[in-house]
Amino acid sequence: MASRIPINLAAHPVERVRAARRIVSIAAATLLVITAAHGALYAWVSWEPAEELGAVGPAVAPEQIAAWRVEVDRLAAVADVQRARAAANAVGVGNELVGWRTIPWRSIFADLEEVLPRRVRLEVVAPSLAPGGGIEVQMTASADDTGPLQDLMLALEAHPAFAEVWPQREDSGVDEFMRLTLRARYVPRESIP
Amino acid sequence: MQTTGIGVGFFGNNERVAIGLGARRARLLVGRGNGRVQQVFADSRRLPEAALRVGLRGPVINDRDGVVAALRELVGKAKAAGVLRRTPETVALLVADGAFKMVVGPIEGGAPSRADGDRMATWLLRELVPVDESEIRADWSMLEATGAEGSGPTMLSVGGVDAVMAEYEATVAALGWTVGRLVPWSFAAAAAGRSGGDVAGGDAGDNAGADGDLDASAAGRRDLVLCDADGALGALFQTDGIPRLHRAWRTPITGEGVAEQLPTLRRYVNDHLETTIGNLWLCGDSAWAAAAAAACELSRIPTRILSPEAALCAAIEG
Repeated sequence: MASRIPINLAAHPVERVRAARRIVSIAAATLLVITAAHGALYAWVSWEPAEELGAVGPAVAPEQIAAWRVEVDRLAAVADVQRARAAANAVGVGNELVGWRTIPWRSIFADLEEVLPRRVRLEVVAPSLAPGGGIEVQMTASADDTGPLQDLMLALEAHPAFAEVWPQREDSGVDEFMRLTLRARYVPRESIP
Repeated sequence: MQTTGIGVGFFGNNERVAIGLGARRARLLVGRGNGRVQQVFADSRRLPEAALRVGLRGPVINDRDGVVAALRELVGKAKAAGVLRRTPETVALLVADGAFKMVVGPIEGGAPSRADGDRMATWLLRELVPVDESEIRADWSMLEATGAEGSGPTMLSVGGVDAVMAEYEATVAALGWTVGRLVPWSFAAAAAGRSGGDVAGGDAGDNAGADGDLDASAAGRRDLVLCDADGALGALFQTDGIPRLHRAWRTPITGEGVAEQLPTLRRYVNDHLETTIGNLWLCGDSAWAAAAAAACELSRIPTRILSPEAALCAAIEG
């Protein structure tokens, strides 16, 4: 018998009371350790890098730190250029869209209608904003002979709304029609002096 | 009142308390120490007439206020002496043997689980405790085989009526304390005798005779403990520290009257347990113990006297 008194008739035997208190103590100690571990982890995670660099400062030469700074500045500049290019592209696309909406479609077609010979058919009309300002119109006309196409060239040159008319390409297709691609600068009517 | 000065432990005050309730007197002992308990305060108060009745059936405490008042007075004296500075974790409570029954029964196989053991202990006591099995409070312990031919594992079961135990615990609870150990007086006295500590008086060689000198060695001990809980006598016979026989007297037995009971006990031990009484331990207040020792002189059994405080200390130590 482990105990000198082999029996104990208490409703709450001291052995069980002590065991319960031991369990509570162990649980409390475990909780304390977990809390402390969490605190340490939080402190480690929130450690300021500057303080850490400061702590190891003497181990890094000042020249090395200066070289690192230069490199960081260079990389930052490259990053800035790339960002600027991306922004410019975005602005260009935006301007193109704005310009597309500002092309005087109605006016262009009205003027082309005036100059178009009867036997000539316009297949492509592609106006665009010229890099130096103004509007360029590239067009492809087709006819069953070269004569009407020449007439179109002359009519465009004679019209005040078109200037700098240049033929780009002339060819005959499989459908026996002659095609002439030309480019002209368009001057809107409100800009004509 | 007995007080002994002793320093406070490194980790603070480790006071431990035992209360003894007898038929006519309440006792309080305060000790210190985590293993061996050193007594620092002990005192007793007489209970009001018929305030407490020793018995198996309740109610046993007829004047609860009177008993609690006596205990409060003792606690107040202990506090005044500066030895009881905070509420003890639990207290040990010694109750007169008349509230308990003991039985030893054979067990087949190994030690049972706690739940099975509780059921078996209650079942063993069902004929001895005059209530329904569900109203019995019992505790048990497995006894080692003696090695004799045919001997096997046995279960020691001690119990009483749950309501009676609750009455005693409620009395202590009135002081704001929790009973952590509740044992019969004779079991605590036997533990004190087994450790051989703090013997209050008597002379080991006084009654040496037919059965030889007082045998203090653990092996081969055959101890009869007669414990007077201030008007309620209980007896516990042990061989090698294992309880074999437990008896309680309903009527008070004077010190002189013990000698008349001894032949009956001796014959029972000889006839039923087939052994002899090696040592006689008398536990009670000094007047009762001295009278009993003188009366038992003719029995020629080596006799020693234990103070009630020794039993209280042993109950604290467990």
